[in-house]
Amino acid sequence: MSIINLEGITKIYKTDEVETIALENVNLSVEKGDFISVMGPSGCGKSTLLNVMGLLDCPTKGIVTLNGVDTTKMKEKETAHFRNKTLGFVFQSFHLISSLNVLDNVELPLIYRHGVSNRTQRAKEVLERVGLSHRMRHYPSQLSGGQCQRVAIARAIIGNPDIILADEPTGNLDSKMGQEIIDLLHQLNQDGTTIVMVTHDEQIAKTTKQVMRFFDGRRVE
Amino acid sequence: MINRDTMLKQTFYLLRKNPFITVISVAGTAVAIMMIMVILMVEMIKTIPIAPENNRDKTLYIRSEMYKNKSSTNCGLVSYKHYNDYLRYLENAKLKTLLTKGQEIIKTSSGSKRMECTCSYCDDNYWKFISFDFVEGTHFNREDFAAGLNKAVISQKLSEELYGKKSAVGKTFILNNKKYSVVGIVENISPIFPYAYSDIWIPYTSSFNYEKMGYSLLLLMDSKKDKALLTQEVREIEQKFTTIHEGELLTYLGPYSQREQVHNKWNNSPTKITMETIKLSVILFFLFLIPALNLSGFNLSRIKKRTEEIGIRKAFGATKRSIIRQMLQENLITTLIGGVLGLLLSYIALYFLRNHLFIGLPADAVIPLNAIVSPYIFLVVFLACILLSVISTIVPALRAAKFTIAESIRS
Ligand SMILES: Nc1ncnc2c1ncn2[C@@H]1O[C@H](COP(=O)(O)OP(=O)(O)OP(=O)(O)O)[C@@H](O)[C@H]1O
Ligand SMILES: [Mg+2]
Repeated sequence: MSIINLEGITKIYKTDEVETIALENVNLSVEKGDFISVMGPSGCGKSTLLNVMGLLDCPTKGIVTLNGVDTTKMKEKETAHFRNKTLGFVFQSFHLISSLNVLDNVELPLIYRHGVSNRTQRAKEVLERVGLSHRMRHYPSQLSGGQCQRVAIARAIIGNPDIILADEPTGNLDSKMGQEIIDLLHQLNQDGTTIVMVTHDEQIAKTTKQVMRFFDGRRVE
Repeated sequence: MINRDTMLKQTFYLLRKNPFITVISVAGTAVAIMMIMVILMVEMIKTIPIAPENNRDKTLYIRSEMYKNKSSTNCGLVSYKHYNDYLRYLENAKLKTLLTKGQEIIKTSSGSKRMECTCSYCDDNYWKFISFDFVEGTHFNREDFAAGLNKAVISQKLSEELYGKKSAVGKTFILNNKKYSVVGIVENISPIFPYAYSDIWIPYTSSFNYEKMGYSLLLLMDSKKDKALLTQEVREIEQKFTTIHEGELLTYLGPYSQREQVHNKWNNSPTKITMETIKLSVILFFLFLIPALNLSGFNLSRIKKRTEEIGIRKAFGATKRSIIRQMLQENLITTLIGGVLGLLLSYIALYFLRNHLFIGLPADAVIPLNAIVSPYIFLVVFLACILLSVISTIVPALRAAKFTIAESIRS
């Protein structure tokens, strides 16, 4: 059974009488433990695909099945809990909460989970893992881009999600920093986390287990 | 579920990071709470039972009568004669007291000191209506009153002015050419309490013309329910009077409750006090609504700036409900800061504006602290803050929470 299954996904953005077809009848499935690169020219719908996959946006048509659960039938609250347990996100522009320090940012997924008592302890552990335990009390504005992205990864993995969705995680970083992030993701993948990552970098894509290519809202490979 | 410490920390971080917005919204709340509390406290000081007028809620007042015969009409205080003939037989009152007040000149026996002061002419029941704290001695009793003895209770202030720091019990002074001896000294009373405040209290029977004077009659009820019975009784007295005295008419204004007599409803229609309540509610409503709308606009822009954060929180598992709750809790903190400030401001305003707020109050009057520093007042402020913060946050929060996560994060 595949961990991610998209069936006939179409996403149409309607704005001021202009319709943009961002995804058109996309079908794909990802196996547990996979590490997928999603590639394609700008505007072809990669981010849209990840958003739909991560339940951050609703498809106009089609069914998203995660861990064997049809997510289209879930209520708002169920979706939130599901997202919290199953998914972890890493974004190109980090999306850390600027008014929270590193530790609180990393703890975020756990405060929305019932019955977690050792939040701070776990946050410290994952920060250790990404090599940032000495920056716990800093605020995001006091960190470099690479450090921010490592915090974001710590936040994505603290809840032990089955799937990590990363949208151009190295897009805002220089190649050395970028490589560190990719190394981290590889480690996570080795530990069993399924990863879907959007990237523009062929070199990086090569290192992953599978590459999916998109063009104009459609999967071409 | 949400970690309180983290939330508080974030709230204060945001407050510090946006000092201008913080100051404006805290000040806005403070001013709103201040205006509401001043109005409420003035009303409360005038109407709720507070020491020494502890029995206000169970007291009825008859302060005025109208007497009409073929040739003339007389309006004035309750006449002793009519009290003695009729009102003193009111059956549904647990206790009655008849009193009147006047400005009188008194002198020390030696004639060395002379001053004008407020003098209450009362009976022995009066001491059961009002709870005085005696510094020394005690009040005159039933026998003293019945015998019309020249005994007086005086305030601490007058005692010091007349006799200095020395014990005043047993000392004498001259009032209306009679020598009164002091039997008790009470702690000073604020002029805010119209029935308790005085410098001197003497049995009215000690006055040579007490049967010609006009009085206020206070009736103590067992419970508020007895008001209807007492009103009925007074109306019956009026009818009885007309049957006995043909061609003459006696009408009492009242009996009134504390609030009715404060708002000076000089007629017998019972609906007027509801009008007063409606008026007060409307004023409070607008005092509330205007800042609430202001703050709402303010919160809208404040919360809009946090659309990204809301998206991030939702991406990592926050429900719409928890987002709205967080916004409410955060806002409540600012509002409570404003509320505490507003309450302090209202105390200051009450102090400096007391002569405007309480008409006829002497300049040196003190405001009874027990009326305005009470759990009840704190509760009202707290509830007002909650209401204000819910009204001003709920719309912006709902608006911010309704975007899809993808939309929020992109913003
Ligand atoms: N909220 C939106 N409203 C309208 N159109 C949108 C919206 N989001 C995306 N689009 C459009 O949908 C298409 C796909 O956008 P998407 O962001 O998925 O592209 P992408 O492949 O991630 O591009 P990039 O590599 O530049 O990040 C684009 O044409 C874009 O203009
Ligand atoms: Mg993109």
